[in-house]
Amino acid sequence: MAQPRIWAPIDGAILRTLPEHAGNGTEPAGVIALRALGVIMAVLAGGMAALLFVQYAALIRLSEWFWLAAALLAVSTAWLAWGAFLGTLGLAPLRQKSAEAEIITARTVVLVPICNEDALDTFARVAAMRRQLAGAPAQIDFAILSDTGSAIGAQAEEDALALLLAETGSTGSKVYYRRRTQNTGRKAGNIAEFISRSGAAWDFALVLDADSLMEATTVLTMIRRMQASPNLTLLQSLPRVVRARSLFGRAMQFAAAFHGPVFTRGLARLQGRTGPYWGHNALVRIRAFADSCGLPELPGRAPAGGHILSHDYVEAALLARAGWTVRVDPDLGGSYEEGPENILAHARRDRRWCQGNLQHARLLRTEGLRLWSRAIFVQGILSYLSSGFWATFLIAATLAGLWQTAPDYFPGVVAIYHERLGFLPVLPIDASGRAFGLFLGIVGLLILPKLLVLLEAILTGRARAHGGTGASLASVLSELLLSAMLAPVLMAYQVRALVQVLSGQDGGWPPNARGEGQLTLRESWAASWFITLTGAAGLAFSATMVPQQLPWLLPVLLPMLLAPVLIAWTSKPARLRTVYATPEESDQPAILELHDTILSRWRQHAVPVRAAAVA
Amino acid sequence: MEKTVTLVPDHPSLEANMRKTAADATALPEAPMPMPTQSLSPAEPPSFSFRQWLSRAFGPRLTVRS
Repeated sequence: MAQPRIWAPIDGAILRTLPEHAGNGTEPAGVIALRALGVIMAVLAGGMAALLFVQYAALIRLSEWFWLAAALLAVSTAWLAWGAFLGTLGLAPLRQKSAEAEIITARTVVLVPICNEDALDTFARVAAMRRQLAGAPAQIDFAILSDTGSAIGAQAEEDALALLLAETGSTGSKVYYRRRTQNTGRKAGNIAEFISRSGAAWDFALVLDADSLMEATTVLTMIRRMQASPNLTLLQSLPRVVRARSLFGRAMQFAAAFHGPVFTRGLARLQGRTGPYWGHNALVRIRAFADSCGLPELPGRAPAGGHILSHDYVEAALLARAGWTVRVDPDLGGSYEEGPENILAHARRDRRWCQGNLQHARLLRTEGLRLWSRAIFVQGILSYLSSGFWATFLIAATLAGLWQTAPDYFPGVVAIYHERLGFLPVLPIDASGRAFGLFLGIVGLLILPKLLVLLEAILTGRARAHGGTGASLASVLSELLLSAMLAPVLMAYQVRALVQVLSGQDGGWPPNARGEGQLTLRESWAASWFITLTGAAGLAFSATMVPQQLPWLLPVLLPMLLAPVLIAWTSKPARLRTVYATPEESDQPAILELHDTILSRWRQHAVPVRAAAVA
Repeated sequence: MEKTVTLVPDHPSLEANMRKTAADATALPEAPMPMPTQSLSPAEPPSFSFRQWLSRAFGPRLTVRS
């Protein structure tokens, strides 16, 4: 039976979006064409950047190190161009409507895997969602799956469980709680144990994190969409970051809210049947997940071997391998999470993601994976290697300048002889145009997509929810400036993570520092002194040995020198609320209000106790 | 790493028997679903034997008369 095709016009270009079909294993031709276009554009951009750099380097007579610098610049620029392509692709709205079942017959369980979390906070979230879902025309139960290791942490969870049951009473849905004493396989193993023991009791599972919240309407919409599409086995929502208080947290929160939907639309246009899974705020079909996603331990020791850290990407790839559809629906609102409040918390989380993504290098040749699944692994690996490429490029470009040869004004072969004046000097060609063009091109790839997103937000009215056109412009420019300042510091942490992983150091899965906020200068210095020393050494070297390159290196070396100050400063509360405004700040969603109300009531009887968190 | 956890010893909902009832009432149902371990091994590269190729390319052809 022919499947319906839905058309999405973009400025005169017609794109074929994904037709819903069951299990014939092929990606739509339009999606494949878009992917190929993106790769071609990225490769062209990287090639042009390398060509410009080689011409510049040859004209100013840099040493042979410039070849290495050019190769790294090509890869890094191609990566930037790919991101710009994603952003541009997402500018136009998606016009297809996902099918939804009218009557919900599927039984759903909301899974909340936790490990050493703030029990009151986490269980209050469950209470809020359970309260909102009361009376819903569907069977939706809750299962809190604990891997908490400490006895006192377990006691806190049992106390919170009793509060949860008392708070929500008999609402029709059941609440289950299970604590493992051995957290084999960490989060993936936690969910696998649940499925193996109790998975047959439900049809769908909504996987959450400890800091996730989802509106009841969103949960029901996701269930209806999955029920209406028999081949859809994983439906990912786009979680919005909420409740950020610090400058760093609010900037990240704004970027996710303002730019995230556009970039996710671009991703949705490329996903075909092989969409992303981010490990939480996603609905899965339990039977298919159980059949396809039993993860083995990789041979060898961590970080390369052992349990798969970033299991979500692998699970999505395995579902696609089995012929199922994995999809992200960017139009799903009402899905929330919390983010890190300072750079150190971000770097700690990023260390785990770096190890998890690099581990995927061992899976690139796994039999049967779709090409796009392998490409997603490569993208994840490149997102971390790119920091190493940029750092190595800077070093190579500096070394190339160190052994720069002096100009030869009277080259024997091409000396110009004038009858009256004698031999004339051959003056060097000015290469500054190429350097400036290259700089503009790279900056353009970084900035232009965000400015286009700003334009889209103004034209569609989305900017109103972010304080209006003026506030949105100020927020975007401010976020660009802050990103430029923090990029060298974040690059340094990523390079350190890369070195640690590639040298065999296992970072494990450290406890999440949720709600961790303000940092002192002493704490920031303790965590970033190596960045300051690197910046200082780089400045001293550049100023003395390659002073002609100093202006190009200052935007990188100065922030590195000031890393402790930047980390401490951005961890402070952001006082100016008109900048980085998000819709959730100006009009708090009902589920967040409900959570706040329940939690504040519970905390009136709380007794804080220090306990060791066992990962 | 140390964290702060919160206990609520004085909350009216938390008499001992209520805690026990809560724990009993919330045990997961027994409804097993097998979750077989998947293979993540790379595909075997096609093996090439020069002798086999030679025999296929230039070996005697057998015809079967029906």
